[in-house]
Amino acid sequence: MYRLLDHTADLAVEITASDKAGLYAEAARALVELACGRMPAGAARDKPVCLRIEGLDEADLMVNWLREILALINVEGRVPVQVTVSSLSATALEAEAQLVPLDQAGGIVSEIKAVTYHQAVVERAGKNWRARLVLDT
Amino acid sequence: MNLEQLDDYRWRIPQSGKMRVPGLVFAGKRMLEQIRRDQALAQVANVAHLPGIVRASLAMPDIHWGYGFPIGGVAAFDWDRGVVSPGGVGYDINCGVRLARTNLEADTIRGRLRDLVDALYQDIPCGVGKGGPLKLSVKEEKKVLRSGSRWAVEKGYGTAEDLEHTEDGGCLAGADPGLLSPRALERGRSQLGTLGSGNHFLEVGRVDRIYDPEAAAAFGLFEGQLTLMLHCGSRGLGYQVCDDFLASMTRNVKSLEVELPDRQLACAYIRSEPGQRYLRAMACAANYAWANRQLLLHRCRETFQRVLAMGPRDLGMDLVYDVCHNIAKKEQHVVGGKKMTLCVHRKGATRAFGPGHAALPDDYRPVGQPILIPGDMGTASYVLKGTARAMEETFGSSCHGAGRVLSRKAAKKKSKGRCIARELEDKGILVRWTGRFTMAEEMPEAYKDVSRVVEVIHGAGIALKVARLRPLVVVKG
Repeated sequence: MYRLLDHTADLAVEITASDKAGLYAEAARALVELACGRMPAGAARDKPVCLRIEGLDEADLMVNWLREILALINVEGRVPVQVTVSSLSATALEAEAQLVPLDQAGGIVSEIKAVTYHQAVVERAGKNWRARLVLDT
Repeated sequence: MNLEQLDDYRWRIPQSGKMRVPGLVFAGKRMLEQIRRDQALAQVANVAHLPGIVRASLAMPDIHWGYGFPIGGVAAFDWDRGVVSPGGVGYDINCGVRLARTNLEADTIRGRLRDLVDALYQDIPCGVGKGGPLKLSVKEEKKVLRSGSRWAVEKGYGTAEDLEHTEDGGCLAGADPGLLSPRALERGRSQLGTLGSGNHFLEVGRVDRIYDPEAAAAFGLFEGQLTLMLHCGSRGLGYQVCDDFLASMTRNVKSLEVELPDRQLACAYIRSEPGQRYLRAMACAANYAWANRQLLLHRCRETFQRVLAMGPRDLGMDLVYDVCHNIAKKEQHVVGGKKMTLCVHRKGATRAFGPGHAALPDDYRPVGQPILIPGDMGTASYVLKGTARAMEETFGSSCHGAGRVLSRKAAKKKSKGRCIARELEDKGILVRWTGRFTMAEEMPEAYKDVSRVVEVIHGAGIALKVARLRPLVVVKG
């Protein structure tokens, strides 16, 4: 689950999930929906790709993870539609992602230039995990 | 945030904690109430923590909450002891504005404005991720990155006079394309000559008021004149350069032994290898942006000539000036009576050099640098001139626009049930746009009143009003 927070110039987003691996997967989904307007329907035809990301800590890992998702969309023109985080530590993540071509996903609706470090946080929130991020738009 | 009022336009954030210098905010009293609503002032204080910062962490009246550095922020660092921060430049490296004049009275072509807006919308690629008219080979792209606007002019997309009227001649020295990642290069190959999306725009306007006839004459402006303004930057290539270097500096920031109040302020010492590598990569993106705006101007000239059925001499679409407002520059300034070499970060701030500065073209040197301040699409834009006071107080810097006051989410909410395009058309402004949310997010109320912002700058003596432009035609991504 995610929701937008108020931020004057950019896009602040809060993501919540019941476990940490789910949080990273949900963050990827949020980014796709914000960029493409919706999660593309339809199945991917190609084999899933494996993504391996590292970070200095959980927040840095989250920023680096979403950087990769954004690069898939903005640079490679491929949209991750199903993301499964298979392995996770505080500083490393391994995931499989099913990709569909950007034009099949309806293209980009809102330009997201970057995922910033500004106030980036990954933390426990009661029984859940929560992340807050500011995206440059 | 504790603020001390110095005069009608200046407010000091006193030095506290680990701040190395105070903050200095240029704003009117009412404007400040608005500024206080978000976290921009805390960001001004955060910037003051960085090593080598000189005099003060500055905020222009269009300041608003950014990420790391505030938007509308200026910070200068000692070249020998200070740092450079990619976040202090921003993702859209050398985002900037260029203004072209014409020989035409706007009123004489009012009947052609609808044709003109349709033709411009057709001819100028705009919108998210939109590709341009050129698909550059990597070899050619690297020439663009090294030469900027000069590349465009050599290819026939402009004139030598365009280069003279572009900040730094449209080319930052020291650009090294070898430092760019494959992703950055890939993003740059197809986007040259494109406007982009968000707050970027093309605007045909009319000079509706002259405040300083002498400076206006020097800039070739007269009342009633038809003008063209472009606002865009380095597109995906610039975003990628910033992101790549921010990531690597974040990994290495511990070695600086500097406590950062915000990770987005990641930086490197200017003289260090990482600092120099960033500056050389940033120069590539800056040059790409200048070539981009040069290509767009060229395309606009062609469109105007075709639609208005006139040759280039009759049209007279000459470049008044091109300024960048997201950049870090090596500049000489006098600080405490001593000449210093500084790295001046302007993030959402415009260079505003005063009269007599060697960096200005011969024809503008007696009056000062033209400063281009666009407002929202329904109000006005301003041309100002740089002053000696800006050189003394703000490292020759001014504001860069109106500054957002509503978040995109709040703007969408406020525009619900309204047709912003129709409201603008009722005011005589024709708009064409691409993005689904563009009109809502960019509605005039989403921005501060540009006239108030400019009044602060003018009143403080940082830059002086020369002319006001009213929009007639707007194209947005």
